[in-house]
Amino acid sequence: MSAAATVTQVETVVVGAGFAGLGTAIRLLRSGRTDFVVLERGEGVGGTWRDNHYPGVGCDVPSHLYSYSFRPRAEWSAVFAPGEEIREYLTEAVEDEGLAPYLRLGTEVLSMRWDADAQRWSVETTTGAYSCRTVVVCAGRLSEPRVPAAPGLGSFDGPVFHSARWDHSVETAGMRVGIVGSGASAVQILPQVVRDAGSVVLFQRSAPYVVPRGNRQYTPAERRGLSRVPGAVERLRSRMFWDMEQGLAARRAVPGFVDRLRATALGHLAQQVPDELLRAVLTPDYEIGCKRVLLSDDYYPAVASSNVTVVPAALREVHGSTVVAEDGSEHELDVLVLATGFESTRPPWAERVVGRDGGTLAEHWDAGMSAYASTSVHGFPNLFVINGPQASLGHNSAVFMIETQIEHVLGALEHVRSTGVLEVSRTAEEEYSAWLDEAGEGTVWRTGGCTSWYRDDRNGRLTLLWPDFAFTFRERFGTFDPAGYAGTGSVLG
Amino acid sequence: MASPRPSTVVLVPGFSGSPDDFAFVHPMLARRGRVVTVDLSTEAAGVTFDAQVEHVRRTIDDLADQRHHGGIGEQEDDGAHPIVLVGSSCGALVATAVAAADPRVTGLVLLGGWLAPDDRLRDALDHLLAVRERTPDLLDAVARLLLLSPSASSGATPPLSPAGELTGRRLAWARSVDLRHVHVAAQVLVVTGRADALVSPALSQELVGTFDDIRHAELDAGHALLAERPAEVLSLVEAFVDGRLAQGPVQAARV
Repeated sequence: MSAAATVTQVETVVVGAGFAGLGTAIRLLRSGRTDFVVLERGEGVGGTWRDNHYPGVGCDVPSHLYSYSFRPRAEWSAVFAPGEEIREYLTEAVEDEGLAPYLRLGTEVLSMRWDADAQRWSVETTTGAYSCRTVVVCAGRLSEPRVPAAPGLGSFDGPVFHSARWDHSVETAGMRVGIVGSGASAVQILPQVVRDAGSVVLFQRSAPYVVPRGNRQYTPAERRGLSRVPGAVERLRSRMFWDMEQGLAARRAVPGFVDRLRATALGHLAQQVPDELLRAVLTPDYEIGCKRVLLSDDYYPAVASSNVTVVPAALREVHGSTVVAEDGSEHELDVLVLATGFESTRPPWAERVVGRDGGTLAEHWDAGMSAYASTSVHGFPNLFVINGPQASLGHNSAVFMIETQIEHVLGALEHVRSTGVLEVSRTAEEEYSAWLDEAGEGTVWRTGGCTSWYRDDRNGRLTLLWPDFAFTFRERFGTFDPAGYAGTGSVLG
Repeated sequence: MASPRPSTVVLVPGFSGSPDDFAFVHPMLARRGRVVTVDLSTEAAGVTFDAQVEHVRRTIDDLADQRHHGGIGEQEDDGAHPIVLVGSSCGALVATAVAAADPRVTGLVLLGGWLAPDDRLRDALDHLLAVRERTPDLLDAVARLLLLSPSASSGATPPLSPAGELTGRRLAWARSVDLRHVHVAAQVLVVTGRADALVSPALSQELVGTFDDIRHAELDAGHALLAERPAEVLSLVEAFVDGRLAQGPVQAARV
């Protein structure tokens, strides 16, 4: 039998080796499960933190919180450790936890089909086929770069690349660099590029709110102290978490809270950008929190540099080395960086998943992503999505949400062992989405007057976001309860 | 609170008497149900302990009247609706006294509370009174030292302003009220701060030991729990109101 015809039988296939996939694998192993594989299309682990290695990359959640609770790390170098350190943390997790035998790197999933007769998933990949009882999709929401559909972009005279595919062979020193976008990546890239670039043109479709980052290095004594004092890391992490939970009040437009957050951001802008005209260009025209609030102490000073031009418009088209913005302005550039975000509300991987009735998950999500408990989709038995629909936060750590989903899924997998099949009812999924729609009403994500990655532009719904506290999600869904899969229960009791 | 009826949560502030103590908790609780915060910061609420207890009791009466007059849930209003009282600091004394006398109160949450002061607490209250009278411009700084833990974020504000006459009256009665004799039939949640510089562990333990139907949690905070860990307090109050806390030691979501 040829290798191509071999179908590997496993109990569980985990798709993706980022925070969610590796976390799932660790918890599977620690709970005594060994009959699984982790399929990863890249040649290394780390997901977002493998793909995003642009200059200045970092996380905007403190590292002691943006890490697994079951793998606390006293040695974080800074409050917000650089991206490379986060990637190393994940690599160390693979080594320490003995995950290597379960990893299948360089393995891209081509299709996943539910075989109703066998009650198993058939998974075709670039390196072979798998048959499994359960699938845990951990493909990430920041994994598919969004590239603008600007005519001529592909024939730009110079190097052009997405921020998540940074080409380190390209020299930006002395060059005329264009940065398209002004979101989380651009805010980190610009201060680095502007240092030695000849000039930088920033194409800003809409201005972000930026608040002080306040990053600092931990001293060796602090790190050792955290390591030596029992419970110190956990207390620090807990304090960070509960402090960040307060951020929901501003997102729910509670007067006072949203006003203070807005004042902080606009005060930061006023302090760092004395020029009135530039400040006007950098002042957002929507409510704070509607889009992701960014953290930076060096973005505004970089924007105010003499070699930076802010174009308050999106990219329109490209002719040779001439880049044209939507405001009609033309700019001669040598290098073009697309800091344009990711395909988050319409994940391409969903087109490769075929469910019980023969339709794809992308078709099921044609009107926007949804999943009961942000995890399970009607028509797709024994399939669980982590860090997918309705699980993002605007105010706290994604890793906390991922861990909550992992624990939910572990319970579900145990349930499947006894029942064979677990499928959420249409009622449960619809009730869940209806509650989320209701919970999102009145929040700045819905009323703030912006378009954002949290909203699905097909219907304006918050299909990516859990619009409540992170602790609420943990309380409701951190423990698997099969009763909820039938529906007719209240999401919040 | 395992109850077929939705509870109304009534919030009772501490030394400031101001609803600002619950600036975060009130609107966040309100996303789930009816919440009322009592304003004890004006003379209309009375200046003595007994008067403030009476003011809170009247507030509960008013809530019942609103229901009877069609303001709230008229169609299903066939009896008293449960009240969950949440008292913070010296507001916990007020809430406890109300709960002891009013069967409509089916749940009682005490945040940084006590039943009767010990010497340490009396000293602390005396110091706050003295600072307020002699060097009022230092009151905020002293309150920060006494009411917040050393780990509190710089954004946390000690709940002792405005430092007016009524605040002084509250500090004064707080040093003499003794509720060790009361009996509370309601379910109780006691939340304490591990680094509380006012209320000693012994006083907190006395509180936990006094009530029959008790849940208790200890947070990594000082006395002013609402200033330091408002979201964690909220999570506990929500779980309590929902009846999701079993008797005994409890905790918010593990992080």
